[in-house]
Amino acid sequence: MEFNTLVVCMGNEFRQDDGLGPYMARQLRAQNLIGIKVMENNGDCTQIFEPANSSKQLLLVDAVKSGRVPGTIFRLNRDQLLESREFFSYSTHAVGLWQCISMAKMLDTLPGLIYFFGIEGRNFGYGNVLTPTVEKAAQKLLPDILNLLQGNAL
Amino acid sequence: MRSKTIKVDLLARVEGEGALHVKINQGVLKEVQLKIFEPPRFFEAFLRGRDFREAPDITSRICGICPIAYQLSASLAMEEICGIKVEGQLQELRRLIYAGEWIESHVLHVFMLNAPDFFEVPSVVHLAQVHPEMVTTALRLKKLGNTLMAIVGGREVHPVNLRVGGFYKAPAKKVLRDLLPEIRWAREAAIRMAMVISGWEFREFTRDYHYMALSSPDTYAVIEGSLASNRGVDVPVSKYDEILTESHLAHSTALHSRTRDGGTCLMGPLARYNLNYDHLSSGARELAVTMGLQRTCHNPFRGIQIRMVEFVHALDEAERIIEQYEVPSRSFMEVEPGAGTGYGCTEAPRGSCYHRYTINKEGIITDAKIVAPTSVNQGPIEEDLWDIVAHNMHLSDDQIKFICERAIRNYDPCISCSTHFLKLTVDRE
Repeated sequence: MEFNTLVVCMGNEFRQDDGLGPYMARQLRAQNLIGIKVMENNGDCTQIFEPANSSKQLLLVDAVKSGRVPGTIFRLNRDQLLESREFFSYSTHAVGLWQCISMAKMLDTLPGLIYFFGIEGRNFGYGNVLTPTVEKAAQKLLPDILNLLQGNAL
Repeated sequence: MRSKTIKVDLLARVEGEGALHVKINQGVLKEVQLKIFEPPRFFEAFLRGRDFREAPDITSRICGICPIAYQLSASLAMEEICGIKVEGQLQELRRLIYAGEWIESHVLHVFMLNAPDFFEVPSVVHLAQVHPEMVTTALRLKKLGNTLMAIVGGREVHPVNLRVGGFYKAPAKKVLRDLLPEIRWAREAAIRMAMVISGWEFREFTRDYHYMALSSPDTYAVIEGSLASNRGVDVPVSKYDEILTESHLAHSTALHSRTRDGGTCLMGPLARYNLNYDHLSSGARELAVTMGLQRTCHNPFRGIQIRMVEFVHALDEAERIIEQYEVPSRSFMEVEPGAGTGYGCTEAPRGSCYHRYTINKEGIITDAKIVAPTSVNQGPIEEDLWDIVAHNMHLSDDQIKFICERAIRNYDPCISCSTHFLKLTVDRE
């Protein structure tokens, strides 16, 4: 399938708010967006490399655990993302999102347009639904992502 | 009395998370403890009461890096109870997806977790600066492993196509054959990279290890064979509990495995290489010789080379299986529950992954035991660290810290399998 934009929705749908990515993937797929590939990622960020290299625009969606108020929405552009190492230090496995994005930059395979959308989670324990706080924030964030995917500036 | 504490908040580049505490008193090493302090995950407990067919999918969730080890160990145990033996093309497909898991896992460890140590850089991001071709190649190699997992298993992470008795759906011949050019490229690339790695400087370090792995008379054992060691163990998997026993240690929430006499043993690539060298593919053995490896290797700091040998072996296996593949007439064998206890053990990238289940005549699991290889390898890791620290106390704390981190990473410890989170603390008094 030809695509210009890759949307990578990260997370584990069985760890409550870590399921933000899969939740958002379902919402986006329901829109039948043309020219946009929606990809879920369960933590192995190296899988993003090749499809990201083939796209002009990369959107990343993930739950955040930074100590801020649960439900807080984060929007980072390419430069902010690359400068946010500490923000992404938490990772179940060692080659995390920041490392992969930085590595892609070193290898000159990073799309010019990158946006990260995150929501501070409340609970990352076992469970297959988002907490109400995060689900509400996700519903608020979704129109912004759709707007961007439809070619409008953030 | 002088007292000094050094802390490292996070020991990076191991799968999962844990902690190491080293205590030195008046220049004498007093304590080395690998601590694991995330709460246990109770998989064995919540398997009880579940249908026996659910065990492969439930246990695959223990690890995102080696789900096949859990799925197949669980399946083998259940099939033993139910009196069936998967053979022929279905067994070959199991070997193929396991090769995919080894490819994916070994590439991750060799190039992204271990290689940065040899350049004394903090991560693969920095390695990409000094060795961009190596990192680019590694990413393509890893993608091959992921693709194999996805084709045979339905998806790369936590595959969904495996079941007790075989697979839900067998892959088409063409889809697999289309992979052959990439596998052949990967083999050449892997040999090229292995030779680059062989030019790196390896720390001199050996100990008299007790190696343990599956062993089979006619294959480099991965999903078959008996439990064997270089100290005379040679028993069927059903005797695993008579050889190794687990215990709780105060400093760790993960169980530590020891031999019945309290000794430690080492599992994983080094053990497999030393015990089963003759059954490596001819290409893998040739690579070992070209890299200057002997018939046996007792230096865990050379584990990166052994993984490259196993990597080529996995590629050779994948090529052989695909070239001979015919779509099986049935993708799985029917399995009816039968009351009893069964045992399954397979060679995860990091070592033997053991499962034992008891089910009743309705097929409900009444007892479960799972031993991840890292539970066993914690023993030799601590002993290595003891040896290393004892011989290097003249070095600065930062230097000791660096060597210890490398020593731990030699084992590619999947601490997320035996639970999570690693910090390093050195106390000097």
